[in-house]
Amino acid sequence: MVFDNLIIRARSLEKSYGPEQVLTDFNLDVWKGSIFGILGISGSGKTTALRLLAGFENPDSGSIEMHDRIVFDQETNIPPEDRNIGMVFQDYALFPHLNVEKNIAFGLSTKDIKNGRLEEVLEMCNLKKYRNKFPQDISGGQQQRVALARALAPKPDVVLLDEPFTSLDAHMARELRDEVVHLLRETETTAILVTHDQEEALSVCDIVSVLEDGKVMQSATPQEIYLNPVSQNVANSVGDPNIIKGFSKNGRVETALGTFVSAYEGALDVSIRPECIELSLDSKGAYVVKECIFYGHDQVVSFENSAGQIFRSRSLPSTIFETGDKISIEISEVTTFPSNT
Amino acid sequence: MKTPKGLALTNLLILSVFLMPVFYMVWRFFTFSRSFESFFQSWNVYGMLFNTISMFFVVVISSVTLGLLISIILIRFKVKGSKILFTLCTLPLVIPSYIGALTYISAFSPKGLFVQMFSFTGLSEINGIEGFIGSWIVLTLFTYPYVLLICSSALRNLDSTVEEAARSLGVKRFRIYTSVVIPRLRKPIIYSGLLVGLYVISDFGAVSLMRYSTITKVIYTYYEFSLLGDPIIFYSGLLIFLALIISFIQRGSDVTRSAKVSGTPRIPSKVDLSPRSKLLVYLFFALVIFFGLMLPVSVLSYWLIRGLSLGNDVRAVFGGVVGSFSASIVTSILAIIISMPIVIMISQYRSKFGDVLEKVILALYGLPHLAVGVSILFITVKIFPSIYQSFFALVISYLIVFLPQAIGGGQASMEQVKGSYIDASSSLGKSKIETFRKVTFPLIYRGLLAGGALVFLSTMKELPQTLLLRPTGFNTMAVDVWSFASEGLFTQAAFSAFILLAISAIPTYMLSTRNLSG
Repeated sequence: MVFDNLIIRARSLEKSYGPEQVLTDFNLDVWKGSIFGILGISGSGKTTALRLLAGFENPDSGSIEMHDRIVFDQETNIPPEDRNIGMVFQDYALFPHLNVEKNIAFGLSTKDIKNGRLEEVLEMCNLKKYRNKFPQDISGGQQQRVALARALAPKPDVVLLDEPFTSLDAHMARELRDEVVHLLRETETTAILVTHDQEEALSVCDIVSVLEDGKVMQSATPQEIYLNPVSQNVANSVGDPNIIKGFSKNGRVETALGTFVSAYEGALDVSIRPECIELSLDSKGAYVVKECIFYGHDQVVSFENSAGQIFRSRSLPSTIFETGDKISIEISEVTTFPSNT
Repeated sequence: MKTPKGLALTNLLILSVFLMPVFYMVWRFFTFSRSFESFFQSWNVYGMLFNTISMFFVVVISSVTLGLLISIILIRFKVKGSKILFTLCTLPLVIPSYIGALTYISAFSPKGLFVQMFSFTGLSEINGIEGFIGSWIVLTLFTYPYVLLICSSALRNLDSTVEEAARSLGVKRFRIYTSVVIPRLRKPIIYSGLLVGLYVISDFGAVSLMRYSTITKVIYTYYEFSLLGDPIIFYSGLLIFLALIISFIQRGSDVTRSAKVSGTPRIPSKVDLSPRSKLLVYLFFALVIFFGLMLPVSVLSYWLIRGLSLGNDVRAVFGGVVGSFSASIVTSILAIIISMPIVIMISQYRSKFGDVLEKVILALYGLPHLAVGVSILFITVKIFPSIYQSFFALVISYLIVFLPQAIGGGQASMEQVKGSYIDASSSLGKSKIETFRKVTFPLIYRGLLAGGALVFLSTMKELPQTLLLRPTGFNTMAVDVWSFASEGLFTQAAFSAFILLAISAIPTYMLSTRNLSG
């Protein structure tokens, strides 16, 4: 994918509510046509970041540029209605007194409608047959489509999506997610997606920013974030790794699961992703299977060492493990971080 | 979000006007030239208190008994036509107490309609219904519908699991009501009972026509004979004090604002009645509907037809009709306008001031109209003589007591306007004004209108404030009904009463059933 120019640049945004600092030195660069993800748990400041970009709230300091013009800094503050953004809200915020068609046409001028933009969007989002229904009379999935259609209709520079799939059931969410991504790619719309769902962020976005306690921990491609997390917290938020304490001396660290090479010295956290541990049945093995949970496409095996520490491994369901089986392990990849305690 | 300064200032101004009567009362109360003991010695204060409080108790008890009994019969037992019976039993609430009193006095006075109808049996005179008994009957018949509406809706939403548990533990069917059902309805019973109680102590129309001396009646008597400050202020203060206690207790068991139980309650199947009890039940309903609805309506119709056949001048009521309409229209429009900044403040901005505003307005809602009227009267006499007996002062007084109804309507609809709607609109390129016009207003105007309609109806029926504050020569239908009735001119009174009922009955019924049964 080639992105030619920057469409949003945010620098050193700070925001606090009273004594509570919710966003600290927040920076962001979004390229035209890309889907940018902000990943974080609730309370990490991700929704606040989105609201600052949209202009619903003002940063305490910092600057925001959109499309080569400053929309916020110490002197400038362009209101949300003049920022040319589209927004899809978590609760969709469809106007209950307007039908589907009027909701979508809300941000369009009469000229746009005359030129056929409304029909175009209805067609694009597959909403033609619902055009006269009211939001309360259609399903959650359809409401979600209407919300997206309404945001896309005025051809915004960027669409902001605030946890758009959380109110749908898992199956529906996945289906709609594919549809939405397809639509965004096809129309070459730039988007910022705020989410707490790691799978969603990793599978959908070109660049992901991991936010924690109002600070960006890492901002990179999904692959980079997953394979080379800069900290244990980032590793935790994009995977479900085994974290083992260790101490590194002369570039070698001894842990409960073996000895590894480390770039750091001193107290360390060693992170091993479950899929990097391969198990084999071995009557002389040093580990014992505690539990095996079968998921169909894979299985997660919990096992313990003689000291009673428990670890997890994820593997193809080709071998059957049962509680009490003795096993040996082989580890293909580890990541180490300086210990944060 | 921070409250805009202009909004806060506007509301501060409204709040200070609204608190003026209360502050004035408090100030006067503490600057009496005589000691409190001397009041109790020289006037019959204990007697008035006793009369008022005893009326409070008897009416609350009889209204709650009647309302609760009807609720249980209609909701828990198989009665044919229960829907229409329910409607007929709630209808008396559209009849203002002074119109109810008018019909009972004229029907059961010593030589009234009742005696005339049965004169063929040799009946020539009866002990008329008036005083304590008369007030009790009239106030009960026209207030029990409040209990019925509130308790029946609570009973309908009562999950029956606990009752089934009690049955399984061996409690007999009838004892279920005393041991489980009624205790669980404690909150709605207290709430509606005290609502009735507030109505009783504030009532002026019925007790004055029935010639029963309560605090409200004695206040008016002092007003009529001489504008003596001390006793009027003293009794009004006493009345406000009683009302504040009642509404304070009442708020603790507010059921209309609490959240509904989630999920659908399990409703027990209705119980069959034996033929004998069926007969008793229908007889009971016949009596209730006869005395609460048929008697007042037919007595009124009788006087109306008689008045028309006697050739009473219809034009005599025109002044009242015009006065009622002009006062009600002006008050309701102003109420809608003034409620807007308050509603916006309470629902859109979370702030200390907003909370205080909401609490004060709720507290003012229970104030007896007569006492507010008295306060405004003295403020205009002593401080602003230029607006004494002006239409303006009268409207202010109406607004103070009825504004909460407009606020309630606005607030209920404002809750539909989620913050994200406003954000969505501005993200789609609409300015604040456009957003208000295209999103906020279309969502709230129905609620505002409903609130305004409630204010309109309340103003139209209002009596005591109007009597105290009306400009010379200004009449309303309510004033006409009351003054003709107190002079025994029933044919004239019936005319205004009939127009008043014809205009207000259906909307009052619809609005109160919607608000009270939640």
